[in-house]
Amino acid sequence: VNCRVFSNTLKDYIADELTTEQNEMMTKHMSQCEKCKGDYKRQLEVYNSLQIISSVNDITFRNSKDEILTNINHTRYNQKITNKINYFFKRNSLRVFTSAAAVMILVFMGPSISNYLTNPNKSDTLIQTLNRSRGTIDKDDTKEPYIEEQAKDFELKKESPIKPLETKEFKGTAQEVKDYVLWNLKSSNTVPPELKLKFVNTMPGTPVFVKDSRHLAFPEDEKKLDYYLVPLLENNTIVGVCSISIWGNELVFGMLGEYSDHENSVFSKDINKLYDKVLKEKGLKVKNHRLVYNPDYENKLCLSQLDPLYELEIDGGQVIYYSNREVLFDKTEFDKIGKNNKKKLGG
Amino acid sequence: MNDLELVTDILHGNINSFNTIIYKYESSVFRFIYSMVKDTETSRDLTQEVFITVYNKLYTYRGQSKFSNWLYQIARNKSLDYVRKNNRLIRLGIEEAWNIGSKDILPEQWLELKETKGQLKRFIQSLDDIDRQILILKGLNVGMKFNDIADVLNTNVSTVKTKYYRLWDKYNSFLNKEEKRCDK
Repeated sequence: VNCRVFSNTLKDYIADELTTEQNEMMTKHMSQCEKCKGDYKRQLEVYNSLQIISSVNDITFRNSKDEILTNINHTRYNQKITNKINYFFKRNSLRVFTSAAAVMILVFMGPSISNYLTNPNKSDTLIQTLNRSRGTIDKDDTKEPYIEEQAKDFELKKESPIKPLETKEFKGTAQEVKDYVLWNLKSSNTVPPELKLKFVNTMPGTPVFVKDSRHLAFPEDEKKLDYYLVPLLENNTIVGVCSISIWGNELVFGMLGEYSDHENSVFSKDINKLYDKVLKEKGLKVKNHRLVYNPDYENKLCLSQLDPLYELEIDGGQVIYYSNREVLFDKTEFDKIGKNNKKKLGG
Repeated sequence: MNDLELVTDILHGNINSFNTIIYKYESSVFRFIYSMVKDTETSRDLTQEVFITVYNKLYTYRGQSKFSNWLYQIARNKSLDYVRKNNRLIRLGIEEAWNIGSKDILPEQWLELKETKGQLKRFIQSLDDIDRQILILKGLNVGMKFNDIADVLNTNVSTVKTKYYRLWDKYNSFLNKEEKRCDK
């Protein structure tokens, strides 16, 4: 190091931006050169006063630690299993779950699509759903590096689990896809290995009650078109509920929260309790019930689009619908709503 | 405990570690925010908001950059949002600010300043936002390197470095003039 180099590097040296080796060279030069040592001292003084400049402002700092601490949720990061899963989902929502969700769409739609293939007339809205999600799945195609890397040990490795949505290809592979998603969850350290996860598919447009609220995850849900709820089971008990929603070309996988056995929950043990009261008043008896897609975007019949709609088969073969507004209506009405809302549903 | 350990601790449910984080960074964050919004009460409110956000979003922090950088980035975003919403200041992009450079005060002008007290303050005030932010960040945290500052301000290292050294020279000549004036 000569004087010129020293002078050029001096600022870096003082600002502590050099490597240890370079620092040593600078120190060594200073011990041999009085002039440079003088420069160093002068510049160091300038630097030091620059460093304290931030405290020159006439501002008085009062700490607000107490306010901060009272404004945060202290149990946000507690060690409950649902909490862990929650943050796992959130943290990985982009990396893993855009792909995983795409996979799961296949899970959910597999049976319906097979149905559709055999009885094409029965399922009008399904076509629309498929059209919308096809774009999504093409977008989240097999290039997702995480999947390629992690799938090595998995039996599906020869064929990438995410296929462009072609109805024939996933016939009968729903279980495999499920397994893959489960494996994906398990392979992360965040989901405890003792937790047995089981996915149950539900109809889009159904609500769920989690501990503190109802459909907690998506309060601004108006434009969301497809919505799936997936309870997570541990020893046959629901511990949490996650959701998948699709709108436009986006898929969002989220954790709604800790399960609550609210009597109106879609996963409630006794869903028939919901309509029993109303039906008894009318003297009707239900033979079968099932949750159906809720086309009521105007919310005339249900409280919201995300609320459950039950299709009830009454003794005698008649089909009626029951909503959480405690109203019953018939198939004509149901079809009418569906028709009116077709545009909004993307059809 | 280093920052990363503290973060892990918080994510495991230990709120005391968050307390430590506040203790460690609150005043720096406050001063950094003040350098942008220039109002004590607002800075205080924003500082609180920053820490609440940091806590709520902590699970998204993956440790790919320094925790302090992440923290200051949040502080910067909050402040810029505030400034934007309230139209209090016109913000210049770092490159624009560099090119305009009209806020320079000639060394001669410093001589004309009557009081010695307040000159340093005026020196700071003469700087544009980016310069001030760089200066504050460099001054606040021992160990904050130029690449950290660049990370926080979302620009490249060489820009930060050039700007800082330019300030250094400017300040140096300011001090020299001061000395000369005292000699007279």
